[in-house]
Amino acid sequence: MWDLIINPFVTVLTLMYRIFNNDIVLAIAAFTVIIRLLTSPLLIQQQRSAKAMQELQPKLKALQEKHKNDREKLAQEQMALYKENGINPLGGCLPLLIQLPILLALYSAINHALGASPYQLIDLSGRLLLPGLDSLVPLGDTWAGMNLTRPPTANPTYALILPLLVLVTTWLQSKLTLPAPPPPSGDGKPDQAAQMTRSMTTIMPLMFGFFSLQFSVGLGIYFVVSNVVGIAQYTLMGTAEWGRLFGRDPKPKEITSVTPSTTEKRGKRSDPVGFTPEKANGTDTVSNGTMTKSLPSGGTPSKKTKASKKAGAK
Amino acid sequence: MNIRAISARRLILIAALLLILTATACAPVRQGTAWPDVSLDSQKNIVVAYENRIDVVNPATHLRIPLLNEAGEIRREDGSSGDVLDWELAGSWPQGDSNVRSLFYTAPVFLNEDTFLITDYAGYLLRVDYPTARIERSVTKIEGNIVADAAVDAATNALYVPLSEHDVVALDMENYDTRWVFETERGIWSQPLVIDGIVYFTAMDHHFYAVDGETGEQRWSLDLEGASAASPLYDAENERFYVGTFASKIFEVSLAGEILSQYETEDWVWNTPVLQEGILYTADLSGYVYALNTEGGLSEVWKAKATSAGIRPAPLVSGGYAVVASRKGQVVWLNQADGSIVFEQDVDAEVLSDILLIEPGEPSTINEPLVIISTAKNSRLLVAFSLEDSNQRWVYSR
Repeated sequence: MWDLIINPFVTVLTLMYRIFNNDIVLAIAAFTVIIRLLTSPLLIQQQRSAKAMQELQPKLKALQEKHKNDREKLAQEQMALYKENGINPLGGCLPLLIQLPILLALYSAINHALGASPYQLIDLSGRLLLPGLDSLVPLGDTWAGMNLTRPPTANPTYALILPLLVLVTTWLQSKLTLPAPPPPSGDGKPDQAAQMTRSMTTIMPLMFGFFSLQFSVGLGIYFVVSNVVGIAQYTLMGTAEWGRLFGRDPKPKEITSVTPSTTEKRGKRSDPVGFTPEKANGTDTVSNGTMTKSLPSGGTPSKKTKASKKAGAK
Repeated sequence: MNIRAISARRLILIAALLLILTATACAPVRQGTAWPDVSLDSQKNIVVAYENRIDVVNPATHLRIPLLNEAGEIRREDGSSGDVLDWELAGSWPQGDSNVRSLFYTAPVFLNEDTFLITDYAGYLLRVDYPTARIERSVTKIEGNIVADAAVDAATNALYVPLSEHDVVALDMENYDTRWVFETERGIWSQPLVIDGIVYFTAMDHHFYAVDGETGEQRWSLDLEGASAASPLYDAENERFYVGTFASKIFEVSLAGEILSQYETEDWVWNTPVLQEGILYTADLSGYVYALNTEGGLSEVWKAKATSAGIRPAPLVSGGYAVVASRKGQVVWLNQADGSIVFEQDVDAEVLSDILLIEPGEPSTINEPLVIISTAKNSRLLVAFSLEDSNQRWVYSR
């Protein structure tokens, strides 16, 4: 199974090397761009799904609160809520799961194609699926005075700029694509998942920067190109929040779809998904079975409320 | 119920994706650099250099040979009463504030029966007292990594060291000063050949070079259309070379660097072919074995698909057989005359090292010819088979 993934990758990378006149860095860059573009529908789907899920969070929390002692009921209510809002709860993680093997395969393909040692090179044999590419092996391993098969520390001093670039571009990508902060929970405590996501913005760049210090320069180039293309993709999709770089958090997003669940409809109508004006911290209103919540900016409760006449109507 | 059914489907999907992810993430990313290098000393003991150690194994006892002290007596633990100490060499070198473990992938170059030179991967050239396994001194440090054997030219007292990244370095064996450095586009992963003061070697930059051993000046270079990671075979009688490449070709080359003939193989050739009675034997990384007539240009005598996996080492041709070993551990005895399979064995580990033959007779005490297979698995580092009946005789483990 591994060969089915890696062999086409190694072949295309080598083909790129030929197309770009034996320039390995251009080949890596072009190949990374192609892969990122091919997987962009998955990225778009993931972004959409993540956004929808984020908008549904207040309701999910309310459901959790309401059915905290009945897990089965909670599951039913959650599924019903997803269904009514046309959300696939796995819609966010499935595209990511599909992308991960692709990115890992790309990483391995670069590692294999550079063929820095006898073991690496013999493992490359038989992977090139197009005739005539064997004569290109091993691919060029020198670029701008750096040996691409060696880590930056075993290259000229200026190669150390690469881990720095990896760190900066990883941070930039994380910063720009960080989800909007959800409101604090009913008890006023900050959302743990959001806190974790924010701390990842710091940890991930450091981790990748450290990795690229240890890995070959060729892989560092892949990380940088991949990050830059990722930033461009998020920008084109309108999900990159460039304002964050200047201390501006994204504007609050309003939740309007508040339909009582199917199971609720069947039985006697109870409190709308557990919300009470007291719990709502003054930001939630209940109106004819319709709840509207305005997500505050930067965690500050918004005074604005808006009732949807359509949503929640019996 | 419906929700459960949906969940089950999703769970299966997630499980499938996780399986793909795991398969990808756990894909064989091989550790290490190269495979064991096996050779014989003058006493027909097997010298195996792999990773951080060199072992010397007696093929008759399949144990390491005893270590001697400076007086030539067998060394024992606790002076004279303990167990016999076995021959092994391991080392580490200071690098910055810490020590770096030495790595050996090359065969020793014997200067005489008691002394050899060996290179380690990091570029250290060591001079070792053979009976005592003592490193006399680190002769020199070459800037570069070494995965292929060095070559000696006794006539000019020169040592030619191939570096895995770019150069061949010529050292004066009197003082180990550098005589010259010959740079190529890519590295040299095979042992150079020295013939009449000319150093011949193939490089990963697709070229076959002839360099003046005294001055380091290039005599000629020949484009082989693909990388070559194995030494050329020199046929002294007819004054020509045979060399295999990653372009899936075997070339017949004259001493003047002209291609005389060529033969297309199914896959990369990563070995030095064997010539016996005008027939050239080689194998490729698709598992094919070839017997080629060298009279009047290379032509096929037979071609046989011997194994399902690639074959890195050259066939061992002896006793009417061509013995090959594959990356899946299959060891196959082919009929030398027609390539038909006679015996099949399995060593249960990947074979990449060259195959050795140890003939009976002085000074060895073995009573039959042994085929020595070396694997990259320390628990099956050396496996010995009878050449005649293919039965396994012993296994040496680390």
